[in-house]
Amino acid sequence: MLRVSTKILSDSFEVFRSCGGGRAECVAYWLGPGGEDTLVDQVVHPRHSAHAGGYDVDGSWQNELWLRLAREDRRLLAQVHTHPGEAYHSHRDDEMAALQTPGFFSLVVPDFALGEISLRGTYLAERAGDGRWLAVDTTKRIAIESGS
Amino acid sequence: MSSKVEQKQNKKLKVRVNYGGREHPFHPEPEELAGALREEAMDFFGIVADREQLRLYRSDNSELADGTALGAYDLAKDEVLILRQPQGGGRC
Repeated sequence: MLRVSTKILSDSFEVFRSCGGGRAECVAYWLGPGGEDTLVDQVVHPRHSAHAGGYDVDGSWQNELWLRLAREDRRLLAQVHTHPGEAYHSHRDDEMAALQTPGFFSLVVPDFALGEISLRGTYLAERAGDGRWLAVDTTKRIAIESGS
Repeated sequence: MSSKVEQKQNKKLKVRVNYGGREHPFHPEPEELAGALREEAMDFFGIVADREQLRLYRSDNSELADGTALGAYDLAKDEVLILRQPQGGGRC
């Protein structure tokens, strides 16, 4: 179960709205401390290109993040990105995810994140042990906790 | 330890592979292909999907070609290689 503060969630929506502007998809990564598989304590905004129907994260930026995570003993716990309409996990979402290991989460936020700041209407996929993505109940995998 | 064994061990490269912030040391032979190191690293990190898409990169973002021997890259001792997708991304 990921533990996400209301501030992390609202910061993520703010990133999606200011970057995507209601016209383009956007992506954020949720990070947490090493040795801790559940606590999300930071949201980062990857350098990326995007349009109304997709996004691509810059490879150099990803290099820098991987090195920083090792240096600071931190972990990437989930990727979060927007869709223009309905939230679901597309074929490319499946194949181009940031991590390919079991237990990694991918959260999709509908309507370019212009709606209510909550998990309502979102779609959560979890990488299973056989590599497939499984649709999982957001309320059973993400706990929103008040505070920062 | 015989001198031949010592010589062989001294010839080995020492690199670290970083996957999603997790780093692990590997000691390949210079003749070993980058693709073999990539496979070994993916096994170590427990990668279960999209293995054919992951690639090894140096910190300057240049990619190691699967079919090239590691010795051709003049890798520094303890150089960190990044294992990742060419681009993370998605499409609706």
